[in-house]
Amino acid sequence: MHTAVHDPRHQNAVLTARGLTRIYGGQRGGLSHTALESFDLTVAPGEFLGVMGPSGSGKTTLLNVLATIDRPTSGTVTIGGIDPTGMSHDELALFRRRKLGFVFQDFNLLDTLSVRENILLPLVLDRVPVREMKERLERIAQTLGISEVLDRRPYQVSGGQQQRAAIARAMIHEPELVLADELTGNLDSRASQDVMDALRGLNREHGVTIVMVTHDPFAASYCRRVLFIRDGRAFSELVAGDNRQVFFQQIMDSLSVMGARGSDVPAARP
Amino acid sequence: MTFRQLALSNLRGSWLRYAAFFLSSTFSVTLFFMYAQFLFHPDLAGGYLYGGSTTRVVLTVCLVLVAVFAFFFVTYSFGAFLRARSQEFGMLTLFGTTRTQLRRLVWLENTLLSGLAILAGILLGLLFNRLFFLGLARVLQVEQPLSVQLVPLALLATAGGFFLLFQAVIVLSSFGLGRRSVLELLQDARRPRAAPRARPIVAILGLLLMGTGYIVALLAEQAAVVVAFVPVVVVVVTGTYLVFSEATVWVLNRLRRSAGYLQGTTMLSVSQLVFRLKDNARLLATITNLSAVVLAAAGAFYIVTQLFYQGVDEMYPTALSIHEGAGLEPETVIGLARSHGIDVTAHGTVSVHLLDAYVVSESGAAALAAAGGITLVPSDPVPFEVEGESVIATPLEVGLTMVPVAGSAWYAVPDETWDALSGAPFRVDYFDWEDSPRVGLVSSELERIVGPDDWFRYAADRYGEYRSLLQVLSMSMFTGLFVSLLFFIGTGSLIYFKLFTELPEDRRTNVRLRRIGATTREIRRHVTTQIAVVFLLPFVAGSIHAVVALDALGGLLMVNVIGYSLMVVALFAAVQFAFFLLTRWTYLRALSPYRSGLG
Repeated sequence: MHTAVHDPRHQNAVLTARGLTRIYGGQRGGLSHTALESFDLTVAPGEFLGVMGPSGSGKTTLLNVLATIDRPTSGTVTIGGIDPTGMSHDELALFRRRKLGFVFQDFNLLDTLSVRENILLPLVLDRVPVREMKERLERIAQTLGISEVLDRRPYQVSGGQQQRAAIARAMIHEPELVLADELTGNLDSRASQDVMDALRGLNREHGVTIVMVTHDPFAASYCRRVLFIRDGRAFSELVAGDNRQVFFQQIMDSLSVMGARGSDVPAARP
Repeated sequence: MTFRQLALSNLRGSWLRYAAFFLSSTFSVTLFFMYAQFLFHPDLAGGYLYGGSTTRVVLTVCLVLVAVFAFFFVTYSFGAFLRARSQEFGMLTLFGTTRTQLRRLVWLENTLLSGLAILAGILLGLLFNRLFFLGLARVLQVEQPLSVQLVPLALLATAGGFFLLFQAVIVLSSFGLGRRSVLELLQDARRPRAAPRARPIVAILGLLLMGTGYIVALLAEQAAVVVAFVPVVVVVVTGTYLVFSEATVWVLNRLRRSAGYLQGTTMLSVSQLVFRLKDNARLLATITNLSAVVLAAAGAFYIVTQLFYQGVDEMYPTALSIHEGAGLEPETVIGLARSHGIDVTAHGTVSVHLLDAYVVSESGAAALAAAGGITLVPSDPVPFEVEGESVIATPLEVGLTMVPVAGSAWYAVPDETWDALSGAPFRVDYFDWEDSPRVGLVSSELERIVGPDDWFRYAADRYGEYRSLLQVLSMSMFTGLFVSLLFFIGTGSLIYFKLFTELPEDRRTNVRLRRIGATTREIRRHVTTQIAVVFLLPFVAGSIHAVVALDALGGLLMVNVIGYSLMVVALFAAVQFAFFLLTRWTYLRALSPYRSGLG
């Protein structure tokens, strides 16, 4: 493990996790469950990392801990050079709002707000000047192809558009790191492709750093690196080549190698 | 399992869900019952209640309004209750329950529930009546002003009326059940809706109606107020509803375009309030109108009481007058007053002959007037027969402080005529002193010296009159205040329950906001804004209605009542604000800030 420290990527890593362990339960004589065990992770600026694993492998726990929503039982997380351990609830909230961006499976958009207002929300809460908000919104909406639907409410646009709006909200404050959780889970294949294309575009052209947890090998095939975890530990890792189809096949192979529980691996999508 | 058992186990199993409907029904029953007990009370029917026809008409209208609005309360809370359960009904339909069975289930459950609510409401009403009378008697240190009894007419009206009401609401509301598809029922709980749009014309119409009502109420002449009363109420009530359903939405949609909208939590609060106000427009308008009625009724009681005290002051221009039959020397009275530290401001003595009327000499009358005992009527002297001779005498208007009190006329005759009268005149002493809390002590000590019977016969005591007036009036006033307080607790609870039906949705929003990093402080501010608007808007609007109504009443009674009205409004504002704080506290707790997660 110590060899990793000499990896040049660490010098200015966006995210560094060391020896993360998360144990649930175990108090008052209940059963305890180790969701994460001595987990290490380093994410360099501009990376697009996928995390895959069967149900219960600990990938959502990992994401929650990285998102500062859950605290590790032991180990440290550093994001953008800041260690959020010991922050109060409100400090953590502000930290999340300013340093991190989130994309969720259920989009996490507010029904009462328009798409525009949903995207602007992080800036509005931080009282950013209105002119600056408008500029940023225009740029990001254009990039994500949702300029036409800004004045509609979330329920009036398609799932793919909702997820792209959610991505826009996660990016608009230019966070250090974007965390995505099963973001294609509620989308059909066409919308999944739109959303993943958009995400890859942001990563490649704007250098946004992304960590994405997913079940979906198709979505994972857009990543530059995919980390497989099982039972709370790193299992294997794949780095993408030039061809996404080839990478997709490699991911499928890795899953079947790992997959004692093959039922967790969904049918391949083109 | 029979249907009855299913209905019963539903009631037992999810008691909490039924609680909101049950409690708001109970409150409606209690409220109505207490008003009815008050209005139909035999002691009151006897005519204790002041103000004659006008106040009585107002009170009857109040009761009718309470009944109408109880109907809306119950319909409303029952509708919300059914909506909250639509998923459960969808599930039952999915399992093959027929529409008829579903309706029977709802009917059975709610007939049981409403029966319980009627019973509980009446019992609570009786309990409150009793507690209230005991408390009142204690506070005022008087005998119980109104007997605590079950008024059969009130009981019948409440139980029968509410039974019919509940049956109508249950049958009508459950009619819509089963008409919708299973899918609709299952999804009903959270289906996003289009943002409400205001219809500016309707909003303006609402404001116009309200304004017209106000202007008519404020400008109408004395006689016209009574005629205009019902039309003005109808116009203002309609206007209020339109203002709440349209004008508020219009204002909020305007706010959406303002510069401050995109800063801080304003965006969240305003965008959610549009829905919340539109959804609750009928409820809020109803509460506004009811608040106005209650505030106006409480204000009217208060004002009338104050007027009564003024009336006593006019009837008793001096604090005390004593007939010589009481056997008290003026020095004794003055000495006693001084020993209690009361400054005697006036003292006079007059001699009176009792003939066909009470007769005093002109110089005696002048001395009496100087002491503040009588007013000389500026009418011309009239011929008056004294011991068979006709003399010219001046009629006198005498305050009730004259003893013995009688409706007979009083005359002042020239001093020569007076001196020539045969027989012995009797002497009356007049005293006036500053108002002080110890005045009562002087009264009761004098009464002890003279003896109660002679005191009653030979003394006219302003303080005693105050006290007996208090006995009669305080009952009306305090019952009014008490029922009003009860009402505000009722409407407060209704808003409280209504807010809590939206708790699951707010929890979801809360989780969503937390996930993207909204702080606790921001979420609290957002929630507080919502609760404050929903709570205080109807109260503020209702207060304005009430002040206008009281001003019209003031016109009717020809007194200026703004000061009194504001006092009443301030009292209830304090109650309402306390309720708001309580609701905010429990609601924020129920939102459970630390239940967030990515999943």
